[in-house]
Amino acid sequence: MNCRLVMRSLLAMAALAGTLVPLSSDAQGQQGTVTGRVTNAATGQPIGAAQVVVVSTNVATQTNIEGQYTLRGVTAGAIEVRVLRLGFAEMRRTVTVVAGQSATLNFDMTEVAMTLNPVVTTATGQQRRVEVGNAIAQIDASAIIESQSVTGVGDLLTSRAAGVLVVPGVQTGAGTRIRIRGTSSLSLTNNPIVVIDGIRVESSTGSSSVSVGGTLPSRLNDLNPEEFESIEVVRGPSAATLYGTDAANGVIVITTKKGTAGRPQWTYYTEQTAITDRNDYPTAFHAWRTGPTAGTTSSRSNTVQCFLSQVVAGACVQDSVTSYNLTNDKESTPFGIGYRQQHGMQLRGGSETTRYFLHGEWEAEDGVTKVPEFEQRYLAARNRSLTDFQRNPGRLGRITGRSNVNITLPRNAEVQVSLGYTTQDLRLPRSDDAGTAGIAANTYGGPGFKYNLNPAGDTLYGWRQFTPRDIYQTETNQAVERMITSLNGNWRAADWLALRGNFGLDYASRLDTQLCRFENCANVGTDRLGFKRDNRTNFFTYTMDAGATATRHITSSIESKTTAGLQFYRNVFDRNGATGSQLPPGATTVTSGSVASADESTAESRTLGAFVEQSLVFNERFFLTGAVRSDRNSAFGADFKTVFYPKLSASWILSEESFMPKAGWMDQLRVRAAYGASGVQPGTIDAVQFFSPSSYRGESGDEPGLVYTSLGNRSLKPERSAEFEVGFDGTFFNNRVNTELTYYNKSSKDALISRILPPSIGTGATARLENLGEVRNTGWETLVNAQLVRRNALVWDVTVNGSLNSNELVSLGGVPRIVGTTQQQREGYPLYGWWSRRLKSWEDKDGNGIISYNANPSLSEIVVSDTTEFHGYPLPRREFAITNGIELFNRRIRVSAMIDYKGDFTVYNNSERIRCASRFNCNGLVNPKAPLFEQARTAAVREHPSRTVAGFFEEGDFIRFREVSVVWSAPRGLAERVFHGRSLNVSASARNLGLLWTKYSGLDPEAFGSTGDAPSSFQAFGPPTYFSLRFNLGF
Amino acid sequence: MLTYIDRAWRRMSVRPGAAAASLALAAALLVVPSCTPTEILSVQDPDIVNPADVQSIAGANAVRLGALARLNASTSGEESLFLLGGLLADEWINGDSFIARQEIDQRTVTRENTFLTTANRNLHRARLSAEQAVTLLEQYNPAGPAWQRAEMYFVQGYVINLLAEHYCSGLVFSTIVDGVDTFGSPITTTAAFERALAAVDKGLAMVTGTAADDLRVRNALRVLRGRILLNLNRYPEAATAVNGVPSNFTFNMQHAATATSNVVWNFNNLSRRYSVSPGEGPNGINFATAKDPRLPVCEGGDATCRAIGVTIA
Repeated sequence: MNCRLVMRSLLAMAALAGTLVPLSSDAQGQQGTVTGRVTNAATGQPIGAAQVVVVSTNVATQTNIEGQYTLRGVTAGAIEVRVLRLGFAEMRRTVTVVAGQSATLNFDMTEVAMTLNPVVTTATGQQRRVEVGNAIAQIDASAIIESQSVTGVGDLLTSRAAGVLVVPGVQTGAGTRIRIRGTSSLSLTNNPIVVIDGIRVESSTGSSSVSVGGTLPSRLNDLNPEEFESIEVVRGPSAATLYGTDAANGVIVITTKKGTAGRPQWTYYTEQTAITDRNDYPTAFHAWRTGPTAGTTSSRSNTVQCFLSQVVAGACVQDSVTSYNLTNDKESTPFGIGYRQQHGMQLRGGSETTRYFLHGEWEAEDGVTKVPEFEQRYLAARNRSLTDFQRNPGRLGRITGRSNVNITLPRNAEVQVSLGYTTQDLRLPRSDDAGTAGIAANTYGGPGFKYNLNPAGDTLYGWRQFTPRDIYQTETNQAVERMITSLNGNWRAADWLALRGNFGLDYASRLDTQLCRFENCANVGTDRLGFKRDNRTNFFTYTMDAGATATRHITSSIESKTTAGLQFYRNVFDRNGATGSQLPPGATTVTSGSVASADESTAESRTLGAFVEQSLVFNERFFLTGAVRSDRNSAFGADFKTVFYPKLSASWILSEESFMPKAGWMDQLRVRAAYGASGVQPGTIDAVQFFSPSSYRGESGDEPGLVYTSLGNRSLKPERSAEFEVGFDGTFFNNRVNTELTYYNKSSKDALISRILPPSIGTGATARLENLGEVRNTGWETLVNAQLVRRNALVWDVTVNGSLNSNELVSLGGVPRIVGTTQQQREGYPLYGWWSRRLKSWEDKDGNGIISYNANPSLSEIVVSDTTEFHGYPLPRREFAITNGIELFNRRIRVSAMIDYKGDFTVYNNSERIRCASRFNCNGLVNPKAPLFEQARTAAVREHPSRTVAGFFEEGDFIRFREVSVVWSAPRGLAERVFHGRSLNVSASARNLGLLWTKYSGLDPEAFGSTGDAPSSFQAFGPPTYFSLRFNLGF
Repeated sequence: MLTYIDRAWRRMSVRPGAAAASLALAAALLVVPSCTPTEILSVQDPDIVNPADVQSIAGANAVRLGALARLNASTSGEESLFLLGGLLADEWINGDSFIARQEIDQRTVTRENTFLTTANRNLHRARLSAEQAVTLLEQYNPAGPAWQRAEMYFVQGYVINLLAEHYCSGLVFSTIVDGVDTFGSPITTTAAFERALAAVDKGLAMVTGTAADDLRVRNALRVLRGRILLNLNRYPEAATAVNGVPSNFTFNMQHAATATSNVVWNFNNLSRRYSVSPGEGPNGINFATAKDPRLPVCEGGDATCRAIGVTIA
């Protein structure tokens, strides 16, 4: 039999083992049942979704909405049962089980003021938080979504988990950049991996095959946060070891909502959102002059100006300086009010044996990009019109659905079948740069007056070269059909033995199209001859995972848990593209192009891994875990076979030790430490030597050729990151204050360095990846949440999280420093740091109010260093967020607000650089009243021989009013009276209310069009503001 | 401790179902390795061509055509020294906002200028491809047309000469043989011209036929030989080298929308990233308004203009 077929069959069998085998197993002789009810001690109300566990076994279940539970297959004898639930103190009780009988055990749980979720998800399953030697960040997704304006996963993560840096997208459908504990890789992705309900999913950024200038979607945005129960962030290799190769950048673990036994519960929600762009875009300036000829006299149709440098040189005299900001003019601005709406329905319910969660949602977002008034008039006057697509070039339409069904099988087995589906259409305008035809390229580059003319004599209303009637005619669309399916089986074969199997497939079909009809679009290149691109991409992500956990008391005080697992991951990227150029009038297909071209691209990687983990629990207060994982991957070099990742962690609840003094104000104190390693796999063909196809145009037409492309590297292995983490968690003042403090030290060795190959070698590849480097990230993370006031009339809680990261390229492995135009990779400095010759000083020596450069140092009014210098980190090193929540009127109303700070980083204000250097419309270039610094940096970039951009590296530190919300929860009786419902709450919220403080002079220190590791702020839109109103109705 | 563990394991009650499942899992874990990890992880990437696939007559010919494609890219198919060198010499003036072109136009070139690096790489890519093609043709198609190998020597000689004309002394020529890279040592400009000449002479020695391709390649080699000899200040030999070459002989690079674009046309006529210098700087020649007959210039970049010649913005 074919090996591949055997492999597929066996892994499928392994995945199903947990569900199929018990159907044929024998009756359980010496076992009984425990049933009971879990209630709130204060109110008597049932507590649903509480985790009920027989201590030291794999026997566990959850309560239904009535607080009831049943534990089956419990070994006869005295057992201890533990109950855990967020918001309540952990409880334990003992009961004696008689074989063949049912014992009753009820719990009255005590509500505690504030607490972290007592259960976390690890690679081997759910575990008590106190047992884990790492700090795992948790985000209560379902609660946030009901109260805040959340448009995607990025909004859920932003400023909610220490050490997790999120740069949100700046326009409808834009991707999100996520970095966890700094940047570790020079050559490979720094994106974390994403796991949903145990299976891996595609989450790449910049996910598009057509260019719109910078802003591109992320596959993470396909996921609907409404379906999430929680998100956990596994921040580093010390915790991510068992997730294997490619988990070194962290893991985002998403758990979707599950059904709960009980009567069906319907929930309808709708969210109506207004979107506005409230950013202050830069003003354009123009210096007018009069000369002896038309070529030296400024006019509305030419670009003749008198720059300050020319004034100093006596080459011209300024008549006047005008300024114009088209985004502040309602006639000219491309920004209007966007609108987003969601309508969704969820259904949860089921019986003890079958529980279900069903969800469906329709969502539409029409972004802020609109056709300006002047353009509408222009078109109307000429009896012309734009298509609906062209009038609304930034729009998202999406339908999502999910079905999670949990079935309890005989013999202590359970299977979950999940299906998530997304269909969406995303229109993307040519936004940032997009050559010369982007919206921002034309709004940033305007002439500094309103009534400029193009060669045809049309007024451009302050736009640089092209206006929306042309720009919006490029119709770019991304259609995605995505299905995430998983089958999770769990079988408790014995008290001490649990087997699990996960099979999952994330399939995404992406269709990128871009159309310029004949005589449409901006007159750039051959665009107006028409073209159509049609690129179809399939993404397949397979997860096959099987494992077994054995739990046992070794002695009365030592508990052992052993887990072994086998995993196989397969990722396939498969793309076909076609382009037809030079379209006839009316044509919109590739086929109709007189010049056609096609391309194909495939990439596949496979990982086969196995691990074994041993955990020991000593007296329920000291937890020790050791593990080792081995991986092989298809991208490793031929001479490198297997990588091993070890892990060791310890957690110690000090406060329960007899030697610790008992203080009334301290509820629990835990210290923890963890060491672990993980990796990031190379690209699929980085290791191999190969030729690539090429086409040669000869006398007789095109002929196929081959060109030598890559030398490969037979010794290529994964980047290996090892991390040590230590910290403590404390709970104080009757659970009203929770704290976490963590220090980490992550060293990425064997870092893949692109050894630049000398041009003389003649390979197609310009570099060869070699495992040479070392990158270190160290830092601190803290979390404090506290309930400061707790009364019926008023509850006030505060959450503060913060992080500090230091990033250093320790070694390049002997390779010379890697020098780019504005960035360098140098040992002893952070990755992707900003470098240039420094603008050291400036002085108006001649007192004319103008800063100018002169080749004679004694006359020059700017001083530039002789060598390049380091200017700063490209990403924030420091992050702090504070969230205040106030509950009023017996908790009927909750007001919460988040303010966050990001600091100690540098933004390359490339937008202003191009305005000064090439667009000739910046203040410092033409306006004698401009601040001297602005004049100096312009002189440096335009006149000084170094052409240094140093003056455009600016401190990016900022404080932002990130979000605010007010939620009103109606009394239960009101919902019953009004619509015979179960619950009603209404929330009003706003996201990104603006910057409260910053030194950055550009648009916004988070205005990045791309999602790379060090993007400059280059002609990008600013982040919009969302105002949302949401209704949740429960039936 | 071991006694404790032993007793604990003995106390464990395993049901038959558990045993069955354990066996199933164990079987899976045991049988899977019988498919070796190498087999499980074997991935074929259809985007690439393995070196073994060029070990044939057809493979050698494909590499030959690839070398010609590389020559195309290193001259008129991409932004080559034809454009960048002209920008430096004020034949062209920069028409866009890229810093790399501004640097060259302003003669403030930094070491980080990637446009120049790419142009340099493209020339060496053509040279390496031509070297590989010669080796493969000699090994797998020794009886094939001699002009094919001779043309590969022409490619080598042409790019080496072009490099020597544009760059200062200290040129490096590296190579790769059987997947092993060997880095060269810097040589003088004169040595580079001699190296180019040696390649040309090898080509001339083997192209002796009278077919059209023989003539085309031989004439190309002769013209190139003449130019190299001029560069070496060996003027009488240069005159002898081109003796017999028709004065209207051209060696053409072909372009099409389906293959490589003509970037000289693209960057000038179409996108006007390059414009004809209007007497830029103190030494710049005013090609446009002086109506230099060697350089027909038009203004505006419309279709009529594009048909005439190069464009001034």
